[in-house]
Order: sequence, then structure tokens, then C-alpha cells
Amino acid sequence: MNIAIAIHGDAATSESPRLALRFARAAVAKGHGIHRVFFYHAGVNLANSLIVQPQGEPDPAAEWATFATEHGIELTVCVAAALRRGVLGSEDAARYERAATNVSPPFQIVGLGQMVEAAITADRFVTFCA
Amino acid sequence: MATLHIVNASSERAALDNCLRVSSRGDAILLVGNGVYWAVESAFARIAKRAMGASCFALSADVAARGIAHLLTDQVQQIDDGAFVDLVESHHPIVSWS
Amino acid sequence: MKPRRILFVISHPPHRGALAFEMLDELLVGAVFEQQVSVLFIDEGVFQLVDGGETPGNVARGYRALPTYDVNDVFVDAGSLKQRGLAAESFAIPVRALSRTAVRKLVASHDVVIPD
Repeated sequence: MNIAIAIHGDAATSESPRLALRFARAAVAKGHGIHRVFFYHAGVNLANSLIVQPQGEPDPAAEWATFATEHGIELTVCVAAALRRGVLGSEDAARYERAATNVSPPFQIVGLGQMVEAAITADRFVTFCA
Repeated sequence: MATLHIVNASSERAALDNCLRVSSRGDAILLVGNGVYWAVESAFARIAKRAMGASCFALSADVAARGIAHLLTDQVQQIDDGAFVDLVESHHPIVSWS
Repeated sequence: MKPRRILFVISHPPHRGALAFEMLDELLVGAVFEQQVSVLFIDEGVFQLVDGGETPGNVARGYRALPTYDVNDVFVDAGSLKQRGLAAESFAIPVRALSRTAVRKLVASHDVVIPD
């Protein structure tokens, strides 16, 4: 099974990033593929590299980054939702003349089309609501 | 295939309410995150009748994290994350409620 | 490739920052990709079809674009309308009010369901 995952909540206010990661780990452990992970609404905040988690507290963004890199999974972040929340890749930081950029690999800024592509292609589309 | 409904909200009553309105006989309902509070006996009793046609599950990791395993109704089956994946495989579509 | 049947389910009211507009964006992109896009408004979501006038955040105006994007399968849960004293005919776009049973069938008949 090839699964697409959408995450709508961020780490500060929602369990959804951690729930989704547990699900993704279990899916991979069972031999399934993760077609793409798409961060939308507040979920885009996972890509904000300026976030500092207190020592000893969970760091879902770092955990997702490690997991995705290990298994070659795309972590895609919707550009429009990201701009609204101050999550900017270098292209957008330049275009909108912002002082800094705060998105780093493996997170990628993409258009909403990537979410639709995932919905069209994957065998299952699972949303983790905020 | 029957539908899998994922409910991740406790105090937002509407999430489970809407799930129960929309779910069909034979569907599965999976409580995750704070949604597992609906599996507490007294809470489940309020919705048991409406949930009758569906198979109800709760993620055991979320139940354990909240220390409420001893409060759960036996009408909701606790499952691990692997079984969650199996539910996704055996159901279509997957509908999430918040 | 056969178009996928994608159902967008809107159950929350408007005026929650950008969230309602982000849902509308998803919907329109889905339509642009020539998939079979349907929309279901349920519970407080039906308020998103009520026109709030020239105010920012009036997503009802945005939903007027659906027919232009060939999204004509717009459904509302009849019970949600009745509960709130709303009439399907009062909305700016044609919608079909569905019974509870029909709503269930609608959900079960789609490949992908995207919540707001």
C-alpha cells in the first residue's frame, strides 16, 4: 500500500504531528510506502527551523526530518499556508524581502498541487487533523 | 469497502457527533489522541446507541499515555499502531474528524 | 488515469482566520486538476454558504466560484440546515440538500475525503 499523509496541526498546539509519525513508522515497519507527507494549515510550522524545543521535550519536527531522510520520504509544505505563518524558503524570503529564511531540507516548499497529486496517486490518503 | 473514521477530539463534541451522523453500519471508528477520552465508560455510554453499527477502536498508546486504561468501556477495542495501519489498509475511504 | 473522486467535507464555521480560505484553495486546486470534486457542508459548516456581505473573511463569496471551476456537486446535510433554520434556496450557488442516508452513501462512494 502506498499512503499519503496530510498533517494539519503544529507541534505546539496539536498531537497530530506525533500521531502521524507513529502511524508512518508503523506503516513502514509493515512494508508499506509513504507516498508523500503534506503539511497544511498550522502543520506548516513543522518546517520552521527557528523553533527551539526545550530540552527533554519531544521535537516532532526533528523526528520527522530524521525519519524522512532515513526512508527517502518527501516532506512537503504548502507555500501559501507557509507564507501566512512566516515559514519561508530562500526564494520567498527574497521575493517578499523578508529578513530571513527558515525552511531547511528535508522540508520542501511546494504548491497545493502536490497535495492533489498525492490524493490522486496514493492508495490511501490519511489526514491528521489539528 | 467500509469506511474508517478517525476521531481526534474530545471536548469538541462536534467531531464525534459528525462522525456518528456520517458513519454507516459496518464502518470502523478509531479514537486517537484526545479522542480516546470518548472510550471512557461514562462518556461512551452517552454515544453507545448511535455507535452501535460501527466497530469502535482506540489507540492503546494514547490510552496508556493518559493513564485511563482502567476507565475504558469494553465496547471499544484497544489496538496498537500496527493495527491502525491494518485498519487503513482494510478500509476505504479514510475520513478524519476534528 | 481515471479521475479520483475527492470529497471535501466542511464542518466548521467561517471566520477562523485563514482556515476556511485554505480549504477553498484546496478545493479549487483539486478542480483544476480535473478530478471529480464534490463538497459536503455539514454541521456548522453550512454557515460558510451564508453571505456575510462585504466583509473580509466572507468565504461564501469565494464559494460562488465553484460553478466556474466545474464543481457542481455541492451538497449540504439537510439536518444541519433544518437545525439552523437555513434554506438551501437562499445560498448563492445551487446546492443539493441530502438526507442522512444519502450523506452516508456520498462519503462511502469517494476515494479521498479531505476534512476542513
